Amino acid sequence: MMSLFWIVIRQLEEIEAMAASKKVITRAEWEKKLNDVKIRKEDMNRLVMNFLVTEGYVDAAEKFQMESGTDPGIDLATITDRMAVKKAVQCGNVEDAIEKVNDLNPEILDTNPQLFFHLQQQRFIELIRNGKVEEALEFAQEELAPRGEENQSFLEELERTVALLAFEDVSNCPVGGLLDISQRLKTASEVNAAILTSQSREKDPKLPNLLKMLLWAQNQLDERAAYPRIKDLSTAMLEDPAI
Amino acid sequence: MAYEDSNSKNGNQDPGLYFIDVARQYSSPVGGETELEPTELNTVKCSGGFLVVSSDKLRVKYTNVNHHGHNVGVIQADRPAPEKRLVYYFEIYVKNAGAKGQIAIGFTNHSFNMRRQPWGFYTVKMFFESIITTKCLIGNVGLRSSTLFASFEWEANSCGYHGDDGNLYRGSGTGEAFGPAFTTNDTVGAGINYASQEFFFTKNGAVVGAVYKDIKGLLIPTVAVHSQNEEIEVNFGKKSFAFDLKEYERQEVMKQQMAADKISLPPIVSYELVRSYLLHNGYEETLKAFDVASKNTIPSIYIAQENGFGEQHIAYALAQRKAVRQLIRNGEIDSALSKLHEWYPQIVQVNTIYRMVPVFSRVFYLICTAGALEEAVHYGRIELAKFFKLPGFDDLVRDCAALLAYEQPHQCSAGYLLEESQREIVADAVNGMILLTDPNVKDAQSCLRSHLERLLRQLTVCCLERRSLNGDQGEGFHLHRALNTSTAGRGPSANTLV
Repeated sequence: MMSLFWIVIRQLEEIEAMAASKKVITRAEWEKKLNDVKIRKEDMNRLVMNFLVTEGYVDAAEKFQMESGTDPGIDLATITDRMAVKKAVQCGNVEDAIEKVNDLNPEILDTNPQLFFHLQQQRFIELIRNGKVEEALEFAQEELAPRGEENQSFLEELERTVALLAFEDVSNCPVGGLLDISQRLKTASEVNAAILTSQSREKDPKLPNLLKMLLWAQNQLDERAAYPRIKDLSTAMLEDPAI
Repeated sequence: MAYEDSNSKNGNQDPGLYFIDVARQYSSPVGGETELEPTELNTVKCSGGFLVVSSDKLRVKYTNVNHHGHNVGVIQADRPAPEKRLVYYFEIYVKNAGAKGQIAIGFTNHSFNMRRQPWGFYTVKMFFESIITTKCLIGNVGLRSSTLFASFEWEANSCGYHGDDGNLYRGSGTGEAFGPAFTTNDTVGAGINYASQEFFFTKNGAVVGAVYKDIKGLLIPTVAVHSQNEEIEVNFGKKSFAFDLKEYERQEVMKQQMAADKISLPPIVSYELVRSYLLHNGYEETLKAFDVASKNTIPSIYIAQENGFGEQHIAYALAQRKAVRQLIRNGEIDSALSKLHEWYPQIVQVNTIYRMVPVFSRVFYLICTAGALEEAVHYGRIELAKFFKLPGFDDLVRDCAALLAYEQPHQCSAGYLLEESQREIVADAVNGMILLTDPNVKDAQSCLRSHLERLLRQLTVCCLERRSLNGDQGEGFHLHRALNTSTAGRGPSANTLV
């Protein structure tokens, strides 16, 4: 009996200690740690170059290579082609975009039926936007409908899209969101990602992921310690720990 | 208020010293922590008599003819598994399953006693278990008062996957059904996943299963053979693994990234950080091209806001910083210096001259690079000599002087000074110094570090701190490694760097 009692007491003590043991790290200690971190300039340059290349800032990437000596790790001409495709979709020239993708690498659309479907869908949306209803109808029957039959998952999207035909005032109809610029941007970024993947490149730049990781790591650390955080990423200012 | 205080403290950190520290980093290898890995078997501490280890210490054969339960041949690696990483892994190849195929692979800790504690290897388990348990209890009565708790702790010092029955043995407990048996010609692996705190095992390249790692502290890769003619080859990574470890690690990184992905970022924050980085460093041409391009992609409301306050200080003297940087990059150090004299005489004054040490030392090596050795010697005598007596710089000055002594300076220990990246560092130092001449500057720290750099430092420290609260196991964050880790999957020409 007595020994059990002591075990319970000890466990209670441990639990209390855990709760109170949130480590407090002062600003001075934290800054010392920050100063001890070794970060190479060339790695930061690579991170920035990765952003410029992936996001398609081709001129900036070229200048950055000159000014910082950072290797873009890719033929910058391929960015130009990729950006031309992206821009074509963003401007609503989907047919042009499809042609350009096929010029770049015909396998991209052959191996990616979902992307191809979304491009065709976008083409249909653009026809509606331009008031070419008859042409849109024809296109839906010849190009879109067969895709829907091929793949069950496209069918629902297809039905939603074709619903645009049923409304006279498409901008105020329930599926009017498809006519938003954001739909174009979505399709554009999908094409962009597919081209990057075909070039064995990551489809997202590293920087945003690292920023998310920073916020996540800070959240994780919050559970165990009080320390100077950076709340506002754009100013990167340390804020004193709340004790 | 507290913030103001600490700023003034930071203001005292000399930028010259700061950049010398930056330069010193380059004399040490990249990648942060380098832990020694197991490379061979430990032939000193093993259950002798029953097994023969090859001269390369990577092959083991069981030679004992008599089959007694306790004559097990257990052998550990020469070093514990490194802890400061995501995953540790090693493999064995079963050359011969011998008489009974009682081969095992796993991990043990330092307290594991190969003579006394049998790691659950006995086939006649019942008999020995009773002895061991008794031993534990007796041993612990002497050591600690709370017998029950401690005896379990004491036993949890091993985890192994066995070939004859495919069972997993933890401590001296009975085996648990775990995976398939393995035999001659099979390759079997054991690993530690520090992120999930699990042991995992593989057979012929496929994961068999994972189990919670209930052993704290350092773990040593361990193998065991137990019947006549059993023979195995251990692979600590010198040869390629049957198991795709890279892919496993990639999946693990993805899991972490997915957790972080749920966090949303403020709009265009990446864009802002890149822009302020370009501004800070005086990459003016890049900045112009970046701004032209982003006019079309970034909604204009953001840009209008963003060019507002808080950026003047990094836009300070942009044209001059750009010009000097360009000259340094091209190796035209004399022109860079004369521009500095002309524009910022205060930087080159006597009382601040020690800040220029990095510049002078670099000038020196740049001449070296161009192959004008005589000129370099002459220059070195005049300029370097000035710095020889200054405390804190002697090592750099010595390194610079060392370059002179070698016919092929690139290959000497001070050769890092000749790398092209050093030009960038000189340029950064000068950039920082010019920024400091801005009369409006209050926070010296912001002159030295871009926003991007401050965030990356914060990320690194957060990850380190978290790890230290987690018993110092797992991966830290290193920008260099993060950049070389591809999450793009195994494309035909996917990033092959580690």
